[in-house]
Amino acid sequence: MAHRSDTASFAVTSSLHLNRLTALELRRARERSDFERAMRRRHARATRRGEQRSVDIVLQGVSVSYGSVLAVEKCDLAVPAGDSVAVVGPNGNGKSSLVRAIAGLVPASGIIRVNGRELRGSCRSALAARAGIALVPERRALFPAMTVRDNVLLGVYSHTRVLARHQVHAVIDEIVALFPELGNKMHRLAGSLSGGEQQMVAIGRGLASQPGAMILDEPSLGLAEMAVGRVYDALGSIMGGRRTLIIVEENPVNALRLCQRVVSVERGIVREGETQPAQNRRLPANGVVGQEARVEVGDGQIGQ
Amino acid sequence: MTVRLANDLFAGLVTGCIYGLFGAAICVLFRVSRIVNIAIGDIAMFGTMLTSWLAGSVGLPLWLAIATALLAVSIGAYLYDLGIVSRIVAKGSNGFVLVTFFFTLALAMFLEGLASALYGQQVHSVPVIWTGGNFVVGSLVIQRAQVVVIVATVIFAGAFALYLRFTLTGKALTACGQNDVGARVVGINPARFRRLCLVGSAAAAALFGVLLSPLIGFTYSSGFSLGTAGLVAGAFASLVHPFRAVAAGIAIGIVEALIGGYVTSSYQEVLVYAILAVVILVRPRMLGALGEFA
Repeated sequence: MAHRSDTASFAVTSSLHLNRLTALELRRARERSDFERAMRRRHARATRRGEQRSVDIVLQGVSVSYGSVLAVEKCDLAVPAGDSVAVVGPNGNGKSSLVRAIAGLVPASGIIRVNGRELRGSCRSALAARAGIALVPERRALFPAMTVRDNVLLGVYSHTRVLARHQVHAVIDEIVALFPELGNKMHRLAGSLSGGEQQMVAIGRGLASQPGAMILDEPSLGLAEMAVGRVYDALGSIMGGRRTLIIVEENPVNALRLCQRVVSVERGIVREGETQPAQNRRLPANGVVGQEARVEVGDGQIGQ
Repeated sequence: MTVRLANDLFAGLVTGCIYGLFGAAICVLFRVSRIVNIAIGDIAMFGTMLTSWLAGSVGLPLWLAIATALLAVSIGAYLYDLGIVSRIVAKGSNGFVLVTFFFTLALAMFLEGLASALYGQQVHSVPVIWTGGNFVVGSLVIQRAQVVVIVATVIFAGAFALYLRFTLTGKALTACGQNDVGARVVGINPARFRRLCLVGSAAAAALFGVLLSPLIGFTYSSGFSLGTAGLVAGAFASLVHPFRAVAAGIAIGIVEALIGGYVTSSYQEVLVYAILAVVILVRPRMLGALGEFA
């Protein structure tokens, strides 16, 4: 008798347990779709205002100087929405200064427009972030004594100052879906992770705000070969023309695989095209360089 | 014996709260900007002197005198940030901690000189804001000013700890002190947070001064020892955890009261530094952030 009631109560608790689980899962799913709906609304609003999901960036006569040293000289550059650009060139020639100027981290003269609107004012970095530009800085610039979770969550700071619990879940879930290895490290301090994992956190922090443009400054610097592959795989999966992408690399093999266009920076002069030896790179399927290739083929066909 | 012990412990608790409050105020600013504000005690002293002068010689009602003094201190702190700190920041981060330390030291000396020139060398104090007789609990006599100090400590440190832990802006504040570039990349304006914390901690310090002046009374020179006591309490919290600084301050206050009551009363102040010296030698990791960022 006692035995039977035990089993019965076990059955009851286990079914309760199951119910609770499904209820929790249902709630999580509902919250996630709430957040997705909110994000869609935000994007719809942005489109109505004439902004695109993916942002275009235009630089006119942008110069960056540190004291008497001129790091970038009168740069004119247009990166249309959805474009992907690899910025290449030797170290110390102004690549980083160029992208740091776009993100508003260094004072620059000239005009920088994002989606047609000029970035100017006292705190240009905040303006750039709000306009949808997410820079993943050189050496990652994480907050070492904060948890991975807090690092990622701060990525949305430019868009909202208050996060409801379901938004927190949505942001974290998205990053974990992209980098499953971070899943059980959310409560570790960011400074205690390996270099590759820190790079993933930095990318996650950049992606948290659903930016229209990602700029990565030397994402493979100091990482093991495997970690580099992992980072670039992830970048390939999230980009796919939906976002504007600028990658700065001194060693551009990986970046060129992902980007349609190459821009070289040498001694502060920014030029369209490439400086790297040709055997280092593969021609991308479309884009500026690819188009030239196709024109040649076309001519040949006409000749036949 | 127990009567004396209870009174000593309570006095120690109140002293400890004072140390902890100034420690917490130092922690707030260091957490956001890596500035060690050694002038915090002198800001409290100056705010108290100003309030006392406004309420006494000018004859303003007490609440208006306090409000005016806090406003004046806030404006002063804002101008200090605008004129000095933001220039040091613009110069670059090399030796930032040391440079700003000396500038706040200069501020402390300046405020001492100014207070001595304006308000003379006698003891000033502001009447307690919560008037009425003492409380008697058993044989323990509790002044209302002491209750005010304890309540202020709990509210200030508690509210700030909750803010840091549970809000995104609180986390953004912490982020500013850990990586300037990272903070700016995600759209945080570190200069604004630094200014806010500098002005806020200065105003809070001035308010603490006013609240505790019925207990200790201020002369032009009594601010600095408050600042250093706060620094010691803050050091136990790596200068970044306001709530831990309060706990450390209370512990120091109680130990100090016990030694003063039962061993000798002439080494009370030395003792605080002796404790710090022992901690530095035995458990330097407690002062983690100091070593890491100096």
